[in-house]
Amino acid sequence: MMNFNAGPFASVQRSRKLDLARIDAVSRRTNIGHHLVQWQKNRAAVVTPKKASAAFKGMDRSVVHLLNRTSFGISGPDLNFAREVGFEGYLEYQLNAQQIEEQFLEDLLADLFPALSLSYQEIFARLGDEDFDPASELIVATIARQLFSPRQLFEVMTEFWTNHFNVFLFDGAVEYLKLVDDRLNIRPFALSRFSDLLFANARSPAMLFYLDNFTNTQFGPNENYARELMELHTLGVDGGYTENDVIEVARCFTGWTIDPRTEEVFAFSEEDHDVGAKTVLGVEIPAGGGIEDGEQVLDLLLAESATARFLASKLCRRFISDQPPESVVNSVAQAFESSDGDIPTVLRAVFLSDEFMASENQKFRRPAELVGSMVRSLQPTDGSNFFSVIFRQLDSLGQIPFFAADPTGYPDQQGDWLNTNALLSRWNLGFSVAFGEVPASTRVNADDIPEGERVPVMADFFALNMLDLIGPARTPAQIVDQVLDGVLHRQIGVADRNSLIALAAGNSAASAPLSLSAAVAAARAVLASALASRYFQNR
Amino acid sequence: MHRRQFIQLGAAAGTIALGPQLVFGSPQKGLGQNRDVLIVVFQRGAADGLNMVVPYTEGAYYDARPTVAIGEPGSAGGALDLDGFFGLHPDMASLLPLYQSGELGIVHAAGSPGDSRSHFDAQDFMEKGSLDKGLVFDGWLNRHLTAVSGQMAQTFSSVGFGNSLPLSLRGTTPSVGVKELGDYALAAPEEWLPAVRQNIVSLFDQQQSLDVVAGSVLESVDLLAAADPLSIPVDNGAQYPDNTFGAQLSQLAQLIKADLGLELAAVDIAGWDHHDRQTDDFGPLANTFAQGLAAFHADMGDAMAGITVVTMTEFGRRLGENASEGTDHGHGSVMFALGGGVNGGQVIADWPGLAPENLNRGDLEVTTDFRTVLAEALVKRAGSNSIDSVFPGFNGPQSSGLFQAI
Repeated sequence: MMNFNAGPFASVQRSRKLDLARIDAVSRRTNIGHHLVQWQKNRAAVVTPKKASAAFKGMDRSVVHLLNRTSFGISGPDLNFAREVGFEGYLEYQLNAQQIEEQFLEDLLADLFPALSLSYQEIFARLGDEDFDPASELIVATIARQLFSPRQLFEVMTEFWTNHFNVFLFDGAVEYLKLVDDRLNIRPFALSRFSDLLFANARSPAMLFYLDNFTNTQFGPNENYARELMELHTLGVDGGYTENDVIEVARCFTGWTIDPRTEEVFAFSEEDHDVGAKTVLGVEIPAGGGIEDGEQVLDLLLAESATARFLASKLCRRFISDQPPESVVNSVAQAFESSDGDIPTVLRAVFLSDEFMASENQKFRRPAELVGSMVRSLQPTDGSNFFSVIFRQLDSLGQIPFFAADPTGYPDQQGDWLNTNALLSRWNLGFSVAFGEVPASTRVNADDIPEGERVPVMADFFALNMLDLIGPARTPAQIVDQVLDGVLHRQIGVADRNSLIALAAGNSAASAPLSLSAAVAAARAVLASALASRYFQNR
Repeated sequence: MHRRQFIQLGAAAGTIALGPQLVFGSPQKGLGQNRDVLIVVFQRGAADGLNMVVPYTEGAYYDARPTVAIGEPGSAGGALDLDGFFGLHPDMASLLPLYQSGELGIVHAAGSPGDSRSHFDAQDFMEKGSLDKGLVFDGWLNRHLTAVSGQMAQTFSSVGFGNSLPLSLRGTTPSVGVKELGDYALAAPEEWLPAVRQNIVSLFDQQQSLDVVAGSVLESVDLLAAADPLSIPVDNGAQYPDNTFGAQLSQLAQLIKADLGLELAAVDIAGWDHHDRQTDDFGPLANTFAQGLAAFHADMGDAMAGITVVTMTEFGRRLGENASEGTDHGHGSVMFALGGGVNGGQVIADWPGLAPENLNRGDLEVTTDFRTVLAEALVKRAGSNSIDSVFPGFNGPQSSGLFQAI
């Protein structure tokens, strides 16, 4: 067995914790927020006119619904484009992610985060370097892609698979393995085939470390990976396997380990492999096998209907509702089986279903989508300290990328994210955006800030240009419609709209124009309420 | 009066700072007349009962764990003797005085009768209190609260700590979720707060789960602002560990002292999934766990007479260690109970033994169903007469002799 602690990791302290100051240092050193905001501004100017014509209103609910579920938040330019090409046109455009131009973003990230392109060996060579922080670079780059990539569905699926094959970034050596793992084992296959993901993740050094399979030998089996492989990656907990299958699958994967000296860092250790015969799911795997024992297990698991069903129900839960109708789970599972797990085919079955169309507002936004929606729909105009606030918000709400400690990854249902404390924090985030003050809990500590710089407040996060937001609107009713169009992109109930108009009007009439300063103040209150409302909390 | 009527009334009347006393009458004095405050601590990740409470006279234990075993009492780093058979992990020494004074009781070989070795599945079962996956969707603590309090439940009757509300508390009667009390306030500018708040009330009027939570947010914010629990000092020099678990127990103590009507709380301590390097990682976590409970006990002082703390974990670890100096998923583990109503100073166990024929697929057998312990706590200490609905389908014993009846 490879002694991992004696390899190039010998000098690495175990489990450095998530350190917001380190992420902060990366975002400040690179000035990533500023670059991205500039880029978005330029892109918005080129891509489309600022406002959609009124003719689209009322007829594009399905497009808004699709964007809400296939992105980290609706941006004006994307919405306008989707309105032009229609529901299916936009879906196909997003499914063919490689065709979507995003060279500038990738060039920028490559420039700012040199670790992103390093090999395992190049990373290992810099392990003693205090300033070298691939984990923080990965976190910041991932948030940047989620918020700004035009390949939104690709990023959504990347997050889905990252979560499905969850590896906790701060579990020992994973901190130095995950970056390459993300580049080689998750992102290339996000819209490819499920089998590609499954095979890649079985050999992933980060996964082998996190789920302990690198120590799984015939002399001392470790069942951790074997169990999660069936429970979380393929069959699902009710997928028909037994405790004995767990033991047998663990035997099949004995010897699948890590060798930090090799290019792939994955290694198969013959001497540690249990060569006896095994029986997995009733299928005999004959004695004398080697690495092919594990590969045969993966093939067996891929062939099980339970795998198709488990993936289908997970995707339907992700994209339709917490309790998706049986009918759509069945048809998506069928699409999965008949296409051999071709992810675009499966996603078409999800998004083109009647059940999807009928599921507006039924998903509670997770923190990444809540923060993403604020950024993408409101389009900050000043990026200087943008990321300092963003990742603190994600941390406070509980969804920093790669930071789910359990192999289940981040949960996906309303009940997992909704409680009084969480909703209060989400309201307060919206208030801070609307009123320009950041909550104390996410304010950057003075200690974190290099001398001479001021403490960032929400103005650094958004510098929300209220004049842009309200445009020519001056009457309470106009202001409400303008703000709702900007952040909700859809109509709301008549009573709810009236309530907001009353809020904007205060003591004056709903149709009477307000002074500019009163209009701006009213718009802030309307925005605060709209962001707090169920229309924004849900998607 | 229903909760929602309260919110709408408050908003309609513009009485934003409406104090709790106007609605509910004076806060209940003390801790309910006939039921304890019940606190459930969940050790997530499957805590190793065999190393928390070590069967140090069992040779099989030492044979199976050449690296990760805890030595006999008297040896260097050895267990702390409890009863001549079991010993406490040395890093849990802060619980020993409570055991000796009779306020801490232990049940060994306790756990779930379910066969699952999946964290998710086993936690799900324990927190729902039912093996019937398709039939039960809410948590056992919530059903208990609904049964004993129902519509009379106060906003702070039940509190769950952490980012997520524990499943055991989810269900028809709302609970308050707390992560950090210091941030628990509406952070809008004062001049806009009343109007925005009123709008939130009108926008959350669908009577769905989100609207119910929204109502609870507004109520709980007002109640906390009035009670100001963070100003309540730690008593008796209690030393909470300087981490999340310590902070949450400390704030739980403040909430109880603030007389907000708290009767149920759920606190998590995660990280017990020691598949590798258990010798490095288990001790510090066990220390946090023990120190946190001991500090809470000290902080609450005489009030512990009316408080019951029960700990649980989804399953234990395998008897035999693995090749990574860790232990894989097992079966039976340990439950602790702390409080004035506990028949402490004893390890209750129908000890199954560790010989191969006594094991459950290599794991410590479960001889006491976790529901036996919880049902006993509910009936004897928490005013329950609804075990049938709290643990549907459970027909095992409802007492293991761990608690005194109130």
